[in-house]
Amino acid sequence: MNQRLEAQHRLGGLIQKHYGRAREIERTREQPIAWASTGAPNEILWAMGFFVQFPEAYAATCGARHAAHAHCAVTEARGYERHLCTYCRNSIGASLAEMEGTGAFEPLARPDFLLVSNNSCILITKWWEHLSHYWKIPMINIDSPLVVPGMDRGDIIGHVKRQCIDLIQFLEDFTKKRFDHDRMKEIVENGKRSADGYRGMLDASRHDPVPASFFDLIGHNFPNLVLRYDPASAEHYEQMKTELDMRIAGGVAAAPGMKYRLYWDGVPYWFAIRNLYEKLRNFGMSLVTSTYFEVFAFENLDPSHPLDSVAENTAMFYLNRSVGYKTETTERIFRDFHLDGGVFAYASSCKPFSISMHYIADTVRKKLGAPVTIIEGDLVDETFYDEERNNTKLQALAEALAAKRK
Amino acid sequence: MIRYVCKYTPIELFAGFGAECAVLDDIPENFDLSDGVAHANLCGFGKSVIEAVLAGEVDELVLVNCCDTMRRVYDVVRNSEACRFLHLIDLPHDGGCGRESFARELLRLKAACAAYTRREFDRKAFAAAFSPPSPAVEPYVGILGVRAGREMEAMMRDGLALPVRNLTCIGNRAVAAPGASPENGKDETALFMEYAGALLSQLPCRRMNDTTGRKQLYNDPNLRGIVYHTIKFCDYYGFEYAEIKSGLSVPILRLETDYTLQSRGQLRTRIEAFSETLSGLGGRERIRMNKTGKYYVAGIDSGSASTDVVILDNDRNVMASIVIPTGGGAQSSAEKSLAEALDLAGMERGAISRIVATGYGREHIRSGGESITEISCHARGAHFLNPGVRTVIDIGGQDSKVIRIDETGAVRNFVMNGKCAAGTGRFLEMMARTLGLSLKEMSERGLSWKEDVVISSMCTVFAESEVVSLVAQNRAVPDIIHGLNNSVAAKVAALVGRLGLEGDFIITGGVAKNKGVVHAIEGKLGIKLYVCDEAQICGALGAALFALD
Repeated sequence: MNQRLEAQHRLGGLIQKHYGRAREIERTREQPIAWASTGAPNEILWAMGFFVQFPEAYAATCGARHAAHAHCAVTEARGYERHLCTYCRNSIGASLAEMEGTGAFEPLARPDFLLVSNNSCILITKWWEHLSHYWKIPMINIDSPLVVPGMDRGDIIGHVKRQCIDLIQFLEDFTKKRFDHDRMKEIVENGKRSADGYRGMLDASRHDPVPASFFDLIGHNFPNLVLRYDPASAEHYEQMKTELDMRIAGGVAAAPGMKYRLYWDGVPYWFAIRNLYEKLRNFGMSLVTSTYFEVFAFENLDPSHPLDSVAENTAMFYLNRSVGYKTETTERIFRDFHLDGGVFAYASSCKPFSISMHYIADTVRKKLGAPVTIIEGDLVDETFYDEERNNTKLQALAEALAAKRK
Repeated sequence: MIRYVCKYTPIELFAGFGAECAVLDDIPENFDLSDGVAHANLCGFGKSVIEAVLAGEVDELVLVNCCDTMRRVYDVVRNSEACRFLHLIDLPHDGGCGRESFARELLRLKAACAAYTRREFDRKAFAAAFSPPSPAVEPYVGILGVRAGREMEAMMRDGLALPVRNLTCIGNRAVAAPGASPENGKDETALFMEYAGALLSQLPCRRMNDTTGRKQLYNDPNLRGIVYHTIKFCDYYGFEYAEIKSGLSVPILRLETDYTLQSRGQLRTRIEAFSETLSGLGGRERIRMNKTGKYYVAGIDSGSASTDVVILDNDRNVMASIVIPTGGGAQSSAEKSLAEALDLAGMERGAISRIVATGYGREHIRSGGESITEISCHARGAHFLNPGVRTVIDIGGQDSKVIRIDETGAVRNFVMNGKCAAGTGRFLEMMARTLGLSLKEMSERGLSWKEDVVISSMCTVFAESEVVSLVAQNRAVPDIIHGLNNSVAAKVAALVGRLGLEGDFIITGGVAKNKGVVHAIEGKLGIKLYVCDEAQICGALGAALFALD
């Protein structure tokens, strides 16, 4: 964070432009607005001319700006349980506050349509269902079976593709427009270029010293998630890669003097990022990379088979994979990125990331001999976060790494 | 024995292979084995499945990809390698295009069963396994929401005056036989397409895309009340509860458990109080007092922190009242406090015509003629103290409750805290101990705060470590106490929010003596609380008033 990348300024501009445009469209209604989940087949929405916003990304922003708590309180007052996903509680609370005029933090532009897929978790379908109920607009869920051993990959992708075709038919009726296959191809092409650039950005972190830390890169999920339909996203990553390569060539480190390269597992505690960054730096530990980035990789896109590849992207979404696949991916990342240890961030209300975390952490520790620690908190709910306990665990990790190196 | 967990499981298929099967609904005493391999945010039911597998009680298990927990339970069980037969079925979210993929899943399971049992599929046995559902013909209380487990269901049957029907996710399984005669004719693909359709046509569980069919559960003319069960960390049914709670024509009781029976006492209190709400106190036959002239009654409130006694005469005059700490058990504390109250009133035990016991220890008090829950007793006592009151906020030692009452003092609705000390007297007691203060000192010193300190942890243990950190940072003790008072107030305000604001308000229970907490609740809710000297004996007073009936 102290060695600021030029790409950070450019990212700020892209984010500002996106939300500015959303406000404008909300006013002019020149495009329909959809709210979509991260892993949904969103290329179809872009091809149909929707302006797409992401409640999950909005929740992360609210968390980082310490605004989520107020939204969650609105939801809890309605009788929703505190153990429900905090992204969900934030989103429903912000929507209710916006509708009732009690004030939400920089709310998303009001939606006309909701698209979700259960490939990240099943709870998200209920979250969207309630958004649909409150906003009184249609929603569609793309059912994406969990990819477990014994299930046929082709069957799963075919099942998702059939629903994508149904979605297109629904949207043609909804927008009174024909689906434009050429536009779809163009969007998938842009997405493919963006996803390649995103991977290039991540791979730069294999270098030692790392040119940009996990904390520097985390915000750069935004273009590949929100803007990959637009060439601006790929351009952003291409310029960023040049900047990272220059750092590598010049031997510039994200934070000089770091002794240990660490892996991060799970969703960042958005409200505590700066605090964690400083704490880790004080212990000589640099967070290098994470499987969290895999959630935003979208690397199955293929312009020669636009719809099939979009269905494949949805069906093979990282969170929809078995624990065995996730463990293998984590092991590979440890090896490819020369990582010394890992911080596993348990999120109290997030099951997909947290429930099998023990197993993955244990496997990494036993098979690779890498010290790991599991810290505790929640995505954007600060009341679950115990800074003292987590700092103790991080310090213990630093001590274990030091002892191992002796 | 194949165990299964979800109503969409094709159990008739197992019959086709001559395999016995049963729902896995054992409620474990604890999660010692499960906690060692899975994270704490797994719902209690998910933990119970892992617990049963790791304890060696289950070695043939068929799971359904019905929720995020079950998806991860499968991962954990698979890694444990403790099951001889383990299978996960992918369940689609609707019966439209999902039917085809579900039929494929059924055939995949069929192949797995054939390989495991080394038997041929017997269509006749399969066809014979379908059984028609039985409709409700008499008034009943429905258990809705998520599975309640065998023992909990039995507790509800015992505690409720009306017949009980299990309509929870697994309880309402009803699958029509596919076609007229599934045992012959059709080719296998067509048969399993129909079977998939029949399974998916059941009354939808809350997980499915289209849940409109669930409305029939709430609109049944024989339905008299709902016990809505949710399990902590279950993602679906909390949504449904939030959706339906305000539009129902029958009373609803929400029970959130962790799928253990570690809080049996609190569960029983809630169920009995609900039964009292459903049918008045006539839910259980009460013998009316048939006494003339001067006579006396007593109410005993056996709480976790204190045992309180009120003696009334037949004109409802308080003859004596006393509060003593509950020490060596409910029975001995009740006897001791009753003896002391009789001393105060200058009476003999024989002068008391009737005793009603309330509070957690109510069932253990042998001197009491009958027992009534503290929910009804606090409502009755509060109404006696101030007939204008419509909302009672009772903060006791181990729980806090908010009770909505009508103009006669009868309970209309109530909510209680979960299995957690946050927002209770015990929370304040622990924090006072951490600060080295008595409860009285804490109550007084909290009033002179100057700076807002936020205690963000809801968990008592974490809040304690937060308090220790604040003390280490030299934050002023009154400010820390104010932060703690606000934390209790936030918890109480959330409970009040679930019932909606309706005045006048009274605060009862021991915590009513803590002015700091009273002010914090008033500030949080923007209301004025009625506080009176009798706040702590309100439950015992209500019990004594019931004894006069």
